[in-house]
Amino acid sequence: MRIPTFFLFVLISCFSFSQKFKFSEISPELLKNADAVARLDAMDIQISAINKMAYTAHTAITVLNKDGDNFARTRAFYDKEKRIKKIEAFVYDAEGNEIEHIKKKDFRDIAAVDGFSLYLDDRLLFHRYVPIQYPYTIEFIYEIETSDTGVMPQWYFISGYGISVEQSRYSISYPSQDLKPVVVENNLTNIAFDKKDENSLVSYTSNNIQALKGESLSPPFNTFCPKLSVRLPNFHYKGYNAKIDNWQEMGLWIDKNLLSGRTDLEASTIAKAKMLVNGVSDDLEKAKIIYQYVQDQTRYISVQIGIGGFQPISAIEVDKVKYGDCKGLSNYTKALLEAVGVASYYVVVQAGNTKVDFVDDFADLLQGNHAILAIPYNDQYYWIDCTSQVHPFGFVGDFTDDRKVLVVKPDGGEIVRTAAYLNEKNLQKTVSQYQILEDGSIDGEVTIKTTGVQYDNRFGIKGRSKEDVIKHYREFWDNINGLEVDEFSFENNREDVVFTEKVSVHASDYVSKNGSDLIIPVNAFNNNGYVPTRYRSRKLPFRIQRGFLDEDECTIELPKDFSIGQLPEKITKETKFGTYEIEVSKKDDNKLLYKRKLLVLKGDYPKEEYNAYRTFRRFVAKNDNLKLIISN
Amino acid sequence: MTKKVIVVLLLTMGYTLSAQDYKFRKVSKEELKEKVYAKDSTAPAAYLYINRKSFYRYSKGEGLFLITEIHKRIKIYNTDGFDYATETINLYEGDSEEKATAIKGYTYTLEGDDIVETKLGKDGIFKTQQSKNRNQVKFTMPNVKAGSVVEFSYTIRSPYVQSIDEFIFQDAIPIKKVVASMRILEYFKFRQRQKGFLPLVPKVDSSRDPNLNLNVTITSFDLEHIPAMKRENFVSNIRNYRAGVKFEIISLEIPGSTYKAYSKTWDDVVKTIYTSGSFGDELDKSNYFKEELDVALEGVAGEEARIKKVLEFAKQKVKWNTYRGYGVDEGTRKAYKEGTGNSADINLMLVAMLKHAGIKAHPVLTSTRDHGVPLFPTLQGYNYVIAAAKVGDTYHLLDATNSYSTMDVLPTRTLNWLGRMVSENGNSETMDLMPRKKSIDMVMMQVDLNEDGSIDAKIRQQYTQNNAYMFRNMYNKGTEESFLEELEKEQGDIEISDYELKNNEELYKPIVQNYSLYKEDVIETISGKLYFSPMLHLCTMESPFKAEKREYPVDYGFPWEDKYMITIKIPEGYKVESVPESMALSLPDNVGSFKYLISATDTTINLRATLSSPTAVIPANYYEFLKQFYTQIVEKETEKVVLSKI
Repeated sequence: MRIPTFFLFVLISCFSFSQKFKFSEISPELLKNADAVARLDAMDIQISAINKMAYTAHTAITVLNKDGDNFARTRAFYDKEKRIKKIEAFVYDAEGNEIEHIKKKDFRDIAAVDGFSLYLDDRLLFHRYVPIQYPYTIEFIYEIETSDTGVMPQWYFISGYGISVEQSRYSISYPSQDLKPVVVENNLTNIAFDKKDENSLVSYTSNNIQALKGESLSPPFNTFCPKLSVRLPNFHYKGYNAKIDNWQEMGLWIDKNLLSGRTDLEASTIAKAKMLVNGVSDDLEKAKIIYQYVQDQTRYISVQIGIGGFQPISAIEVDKVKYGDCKGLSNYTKALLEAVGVASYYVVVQAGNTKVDFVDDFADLLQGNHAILAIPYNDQYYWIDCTSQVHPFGFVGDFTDDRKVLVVKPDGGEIVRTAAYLNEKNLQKTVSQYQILEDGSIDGEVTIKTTGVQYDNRFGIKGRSKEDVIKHYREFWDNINGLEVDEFSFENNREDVVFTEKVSVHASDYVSKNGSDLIIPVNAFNNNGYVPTRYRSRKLPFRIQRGFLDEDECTIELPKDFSIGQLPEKITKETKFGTYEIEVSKKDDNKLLYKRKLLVLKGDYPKEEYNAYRTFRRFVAKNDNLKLIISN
Repeated sequence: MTKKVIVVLLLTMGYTLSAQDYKFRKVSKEELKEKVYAKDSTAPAAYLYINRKSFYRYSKGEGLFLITEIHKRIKIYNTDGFDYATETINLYEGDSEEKATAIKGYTYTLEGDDIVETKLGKDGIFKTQQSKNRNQVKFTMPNVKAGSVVEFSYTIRSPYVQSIDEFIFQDAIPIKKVVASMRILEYFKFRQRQKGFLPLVPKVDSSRDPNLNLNVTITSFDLEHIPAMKRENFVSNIRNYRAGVKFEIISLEIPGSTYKAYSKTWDDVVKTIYTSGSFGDELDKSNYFKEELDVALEGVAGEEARIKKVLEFAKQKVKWNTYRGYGVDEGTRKAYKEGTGNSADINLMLVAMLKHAGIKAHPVLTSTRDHGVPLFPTLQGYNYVIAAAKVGDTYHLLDATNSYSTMDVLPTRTLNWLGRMVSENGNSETMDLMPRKKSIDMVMMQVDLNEDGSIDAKIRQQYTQNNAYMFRNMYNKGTEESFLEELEKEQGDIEISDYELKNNEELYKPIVQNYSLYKEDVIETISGKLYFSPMLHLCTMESPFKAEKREYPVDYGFPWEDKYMITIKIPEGYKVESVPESMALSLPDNVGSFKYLISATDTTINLRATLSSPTAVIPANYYEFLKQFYTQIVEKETEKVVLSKI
C-alpha cells in the first residue's frame, strides 16, 4: 500500500518540530568569540491604535558555557500600562530534544530593583533555569499588550559582546499612515539585511552575525552596533497623547504636560529665597546663592511611580521633605530661581562617565536618564547638577560634560552641548620637594593643584576622615614603600574650581644602596604606570574621552657630600596622542630639579593606531621609573 | 537580607536620665551639635540609641502574635551617613502575614539655636510586594542634612511566634547605646546563641504578663559604645562575627493541648531532622536510580573506586539549583528525574546511592560559610547537607552539587568548621570539615632575559586539591580564549602562547598548565646594570594585611602551599653583581612559613621559594605576627638581583 503523501508530510514536520535548535547545526564562524548563539531573535509589533500596541518577543538562545547563561534570561517587565499576555519557555538539549516546558505559572512575580531607588512601581515575571548541561537552548516567548506607544521596543541586531546571531527579525505593523513609525537605521553597513517597507508593515531580517569581543578603551557598544531606532510621532504615554516630531515639539510637550505648575512654592519659601539674595542684583550671583542653598538643604532619593519616571515631583513636595530625585531637585531649584527672578531651563541628559549624545534628528522619550539645569546668562549656559551636594556652581564634572542634551524651554526644546573639559583644562600641577637623608629615607612636601575633570576626581578627599585620607595617599603613591603621611591640608576654591592639596610625607628605604652609591627613583610623586591592555590583534577603534595635562616640578635635596655624576639627557616624546617631557637639571651643588610634563589628548582613533598609543604609554611608564645614581 | 528589628521602651524606667534622654522625641541640642562620634571620628553616622522589645500578645480569633517594637535614634554626621536615614523592613508572608504598623518618625535639625522637627509623612512610606512570600516596607526621613538626628519607631506583628529575628547589636556604624529585651512565655523554650566578640551578659528576670496572664522570662541587654564593624580581607562571613543574639526554638508546650519539641541537644537536633519527612526517608529509596547506577558500577571494584564512581554518577545525573537546605525540596526521586535539585535532594540521593553500592555512608549536616558557625545545637544552625562515606576507619566527605568537587575536595562554601554526621539510629558525631591535605600551587619557570627589558619564560604550573577545584570552575565557565585573556590581564599583561592544559577532566589528578610567556618591561637598566626581582612578575607587591589590627580570624578556607622554582638564564656578557640573601621565616606555632633560597652560578640564578599555610584558619591573636610576616615577605620578594656587564 502506498503511504499517502499527506501522512508522510506530517511525519516529517513532527520530526523537525521535536528536533529544534540542534547545536551541531550552528555554523562554526558563529561559535568564534561566542558564549551564546541567538538562533532566533525576533520581535513583532502590532500597533492598532494610538494607545493600543501589542508585541511578541520570540528568542531561542543556545548557551555554550556558563558565561553565556546571562544571554538566556527569561524575564519580562510589566507595569500599570503594560500587561504580559503570554509568557512561556522551552529548554532543549544539544540534540534539540525538548527537556523542559516552563509555563506562565512557573514564573515568579517580583518587584523590579534598580539598586538605588527607594521605590519603583515596575515589576517583572522571571524564571531562573538551572542548566544541567552545556550547550543547551532556551526558547522564550512572551506577549505584551500596552497603551504606551511612546516607548517602542528598539532593535539591536546583536545584543552585546560574546553572542552571535543566526537570525534576527523585527517587524512593525501599523493601521494607518499617522501611526507609521519612524525607523532610523544605525550602523547597518556592517551587516547584511533584508528590509521590507510595505503598506502597513515595516520589517527587517538579518542572518549570521558573528560575535564581537569587548576591548578596553573602545567607544560604547551602542555607538557602533547595528541597531534600529524606532519611534512614533503620534503616541500615547501614561495617560497622555502627544504628537512629537522633533526636539522642539518634545520640549514644548514636556514643558506643557510634565513641568507646568510644578514650580509653585509656598509664600513663606518664596520669601525665604528672596531674603537669601537680598541685596544681590546680578542674576548669576543670585543663582549661586540659590544653588548653594539647595545643596545644603536637600539630598538625593529616587522614587519612580508611573509618569513620575518622566515628571518631577512638585517643588512644594520637595520643599517639605527636602529630598528628591534628579527631576525633583532640578525642578525645585528652578522654582527657587524663578522666585528670585532668575531664568533657568530644565535639561534632560544621558549621564555617566561615558559621553552619550542626544540624537539631533530623532526625538523620543527613551534618550536621557538624568536631569540637570541650565542657567542662561550673558549668551551662554551655566550648567548645574542639583543632585550633588558638593559640586561648585557651573561645574558638572565628568558625569554630564561635553554631550548633546535636551534643554526644555517654554518655546520648545533645543539640543545643546554641555560644557567640555578637555586636554589642558584637566590640569594637575604638582610642585614638590624632597630631601634624601643618609639612611635612604626621604622627607617630602607636595602641593597638588587640579582643575577640570582632575578636580572632579580629587576634591572629594576633603572632608574624608584622616584614616581615609592616609589610605588614599598610600594608594596614590603606591610607588613609595612604607609611605607615612605626616600632615595634610586642603583648599577647595569653588569659585575658580581649583582644588589644592598640601601634603607632608616621609618614607624610610625609598632610596636603595648599591655599594656606596645611592639609587633614586627620581619621580616620587607622580608615577604613571598605566599601560593599556595588550591585544594581539585589536578589532575595535579606541577613544580617549577627555585628555589631561600633568605638570610636575620637584626639587630633590641630596644628602651632604653626595652629588650626581652625569645628568640624564632631556627626554621628549611627541605623538599624535600627546606629549611627554622630562628633564633633570642641577639647581645648585646638592639640589636637583626634576621637571615633567604629560599631555594626553582627547581623540577617536582607528584600531590600527592602538599599538602606537600603547607604545607611547609604555614609554611614559618606563621613563616615569627613571633612576638616578648619586655618589659621594 | 536579615531583618533589622529593635524595640521601643515606652517607659524608660530608672535609667540615668540626667545625661541622655532616650524617650521618643526627646532629642537634645547636644546631640544635634555633635560634629563627630567621639570614639570613632571616621563614622559617617551613629546609632545614638536603639531599643528593641519583643513580646507576645494574644488576639481573640487570631491567636498568638510575636510583637516587636523598634525605636532607633540616629545621628547623621555627614552626607555619607545619609543612607542611614532610610529604613528597610523585610516582612514574610506565607499563610498569614507579618505586618509593620505604627510607623512614626521625626527628623531634628538645628536652625540657629532652635530645634526644628520634621515629621515623616505617610506618603514617604512605601510598601512593595517583593515576591510571593516577601514584602518590604521602606521609608526615608524628610529634611535630613549633615548634623541632623533622625528618630523613628515602628511595630512588627508576626504570626510566626516560634521564629524570633536575631537581636543585632553591631553594625557598620557605631552604636552608642542599645537596649533590648525578649519576653518569653512559659510555653516556649528557646536557646540563646550569642555571636561575635563582645561580651554580652543578659539580665534575666521573671515576671507575670498581665495581658496574657502567664509567666514570662525577660532576657534583657543594655550595651554601650559598640564599635563599628570594619571590612577585612579573608573573612569568611562578617556576619558570623557581628555581635548579636539568636533565639532558637527548642520546644513549645501549651498545657493540655500541645507539646512540640524542636531541638535541644545535638541528638535532639539530629532526631528532629532525621524523622522529619524530608530527610530520613530519602536515604532508603533506591528503586528510581538502581538500574542505571548498577550499570555504571559494573566491574568497578574496591571501595574507594566505587565511591568515586557513585559521586561522578550523582554529579552527572543531577545539577544543583543553588538552593541550600538539609531537607529535600523536590524529593530525591523527582530531582533525579528532572536533573536538578537542592543540596539535600542531591546529597541525600548520593548517600542512598552509596549505600546501594555497598558503602557505609551517612549524611553530614553542615552550615555553609555564609550561614555562620554552628557552635550550639539548634535546627537553624545548619542549612546544608553533604555525605560521608566510610572506608576502613576513615570517613571521606563528598558533595555532588558541583561538577568539579571530588572525594574530600568540597566546594568552598562548605568548608566551615564542623559538621555533624547522622546515623540511622539517630546517633550523631562531629566531623571536621577542614581539608587535611594542603592545596598546592606549584610554579616551575625558566626565564630568558631580553635586551629590551622584556622576558620570555616557559612555565609549568600545577594545582592540587581545592586549588584545582577552583581552577576547574574558573576555566570551564567560558571559552579557553576568555580564560587566557583573564589570566594574561591578572598577571600584568603577560602574553601567553603554546598553552596546554592537562587533567581538566581527570579530577583525581592535579591540574597541569604548560605555557610560554612574554612580558614587557620587567627588567630595569640603570647605568648599564640590570635590576629585577628574581620572582619577576610573580612577585608579591603588597601585603594583604594592611589594617593596624584585626578582630576576626583569618579564614583561608583550606590549608595551602605556594611553591616557586625559578631558573633565570644570565644573558651573554653579564655577570651577577649581587643577589638577595636567602631567608626562612615562620609564624609562631607553625601557622605559616616562608622559605626563600637563592643561588647563582656563572650562567643561571636559581630561586626556590615556598609560602605555606598549614592551617585554614588563623586566629586573630596571630594577626600582629602575620602582618609582620607579610611585610617581610614583600620586602624579600621585591629585592632585586643586579647584573653588570663583564
